[in-house]
Amino acid sequence: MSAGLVIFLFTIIYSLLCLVLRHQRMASAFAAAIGAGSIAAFVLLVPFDEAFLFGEISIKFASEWIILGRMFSLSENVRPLIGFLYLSGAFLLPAAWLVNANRFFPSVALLILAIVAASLMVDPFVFAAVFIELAAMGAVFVLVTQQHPRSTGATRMLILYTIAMVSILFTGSLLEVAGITSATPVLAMRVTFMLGFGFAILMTIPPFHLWLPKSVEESDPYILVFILVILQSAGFFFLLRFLDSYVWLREQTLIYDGIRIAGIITTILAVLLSASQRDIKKLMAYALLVDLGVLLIALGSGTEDAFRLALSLSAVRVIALGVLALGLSYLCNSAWLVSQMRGVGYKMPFAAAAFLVGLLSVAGTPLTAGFPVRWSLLTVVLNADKLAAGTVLFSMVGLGMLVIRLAAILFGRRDDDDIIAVSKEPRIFLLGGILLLLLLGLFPQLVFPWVEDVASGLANLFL
Amino acid sequence: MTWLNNYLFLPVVILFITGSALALMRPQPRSMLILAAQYIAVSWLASTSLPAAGVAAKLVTGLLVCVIFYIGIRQIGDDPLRGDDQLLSANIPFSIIALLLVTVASVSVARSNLFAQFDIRIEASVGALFLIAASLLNLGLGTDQLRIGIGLLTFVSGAELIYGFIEPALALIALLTMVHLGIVLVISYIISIQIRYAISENRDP
Repeated sequence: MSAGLVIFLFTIIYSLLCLVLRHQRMASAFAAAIGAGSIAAFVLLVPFDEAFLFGEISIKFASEWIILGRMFSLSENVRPLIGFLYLSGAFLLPAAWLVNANRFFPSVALLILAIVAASLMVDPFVFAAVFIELAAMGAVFVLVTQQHPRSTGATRMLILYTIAMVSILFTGSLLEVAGITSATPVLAMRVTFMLGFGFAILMTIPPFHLWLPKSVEESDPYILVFILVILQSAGFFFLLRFLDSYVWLREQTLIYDGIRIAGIITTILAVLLSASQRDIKKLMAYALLVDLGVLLIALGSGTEDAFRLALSLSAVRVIALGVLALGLSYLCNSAWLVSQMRGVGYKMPFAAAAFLVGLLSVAGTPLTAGFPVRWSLLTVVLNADKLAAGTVLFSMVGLGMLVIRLAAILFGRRDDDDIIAVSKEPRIFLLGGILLLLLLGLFPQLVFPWVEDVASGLANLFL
Repeated sequence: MTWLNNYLFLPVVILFITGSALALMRPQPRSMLILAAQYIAVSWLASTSLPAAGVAAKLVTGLLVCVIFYIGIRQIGDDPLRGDDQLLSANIPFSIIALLLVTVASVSVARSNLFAQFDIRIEASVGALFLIAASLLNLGLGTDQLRIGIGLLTFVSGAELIYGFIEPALALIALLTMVHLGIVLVISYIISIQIRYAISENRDP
């Protein structure tokens, strides 16, 4: 039996189970998380292409699966990436029942994970663009619901992802058919431009971020973070595989300069925009962009160490953004919040604390999960590009000051500071998230094994 | 079916007419007939690059998309959509000028050597580039979901037409078929959600 088929079947089974359990939101969310976790374990731990004993039964999973003449391969270089996506799902999905999500969300979320996994498995890998487009379509079903009927942001996302799909498909074909090398500079420049355009959309780099602030206004922040983490990770891994596969692309300093400049612009713009926000939902959208900007700076530095840091950032951001969004989602469920933020920290202390600690981690404040990676990045880029190092520092200081200002507002005294009762389970989730962020701040090496797994798979990029 | 290749100017003319009509008209259920004609013309042009099975799949998908769109809009209850009796878009002079500009631009680009290495027929590249340009215009001209849906389907059709010459693989035809169906399902879903919301709030969507 092929491993790809097993993933597909398990996704369908768990998705149907979530559908059956949709009226019991907690059971449905946990079923989805268990499903994602078990698939992640299968991808990361089970040996492929060799027989092994399960009890007394000998089993062999083939890493390749062929459909319509195209191969879906679970090769060593994509296994850690797919495992990461499913682990992200397993981490984010249990809390889905706590937020204002549609009851079909866990079911659709599993399907989105499977489609993104397919985008990593398909060969030739340029076809991944079509799968990411299909995943974006799935995202619309969870972003636009009866609870959140407005659809401007989701529609903008769909339009942009469709354009990105076409751009990347053409680029991939140009690369394969036209045989581009460093000896064909005009064609190489054209391809680089189209590729950059496509990836700028996939990774929500300004000005293609316009759907994000609109979506955060229109949807639940937690659901948006799930979608964004999965789609941006897919785009990021896709870019890594492009760089790993094409020598001329990897050897062009222009590419890395472009990525780094995009990162610098994204970070500065997002910090300034977040500082000018009065709406904390939009502030989260810009914090997401700050995080992305720092990730791009790491990637654009073009060294192995910086690539490792970019991978670490992509791992840590799942937790930081998840905790931030969960806290925010709770805060936003209080209708009066938008107009009266002052004192909310006393009314909902756990939610406010989760929001602030999540934001602190995105800012890269010491003792939080975001700090060790950002600090290492500073040391890596300081000698090579002072502007990039200054931008990382600016993001840390800028967002840090913003958190202080927000904390002063959220925990400012009001006359009616009665605590809004929050049941035990949400408190456990919020507190657990905060503790996890602090734990990763103290022991950042916990994400190292995964980073090394990815690095060993992308053998050309990590020599 | 090779005799069809002798009249390839016809689908190009049909694409110019349907693309212009979709950009100038206000989107409504009857726009699906125009979209269906556009899909037929696209399939005709695609027959120069794809195998017969691929062309048939493209044609059937296109017609299916139109039917799903039409049924979706009608079944949801066409009252909110029918409230709009105007046939043409607002600001028609601007739309006509913009359409003329994108037509000239697409023909110019098609006549350049942009796709020289792929041996694409001039009729297909003119038609495809016009579709892409008209769809971008369509997406830019309005915000209502039906227009966006039609714009996206037109955009993918145009891109697919060129891509058929580059990679006429069955797997890719199947994937892009799923993209067409996905777009129509997503847009129908959004329209249904908004109409339900409008009905529950008792206001105009």
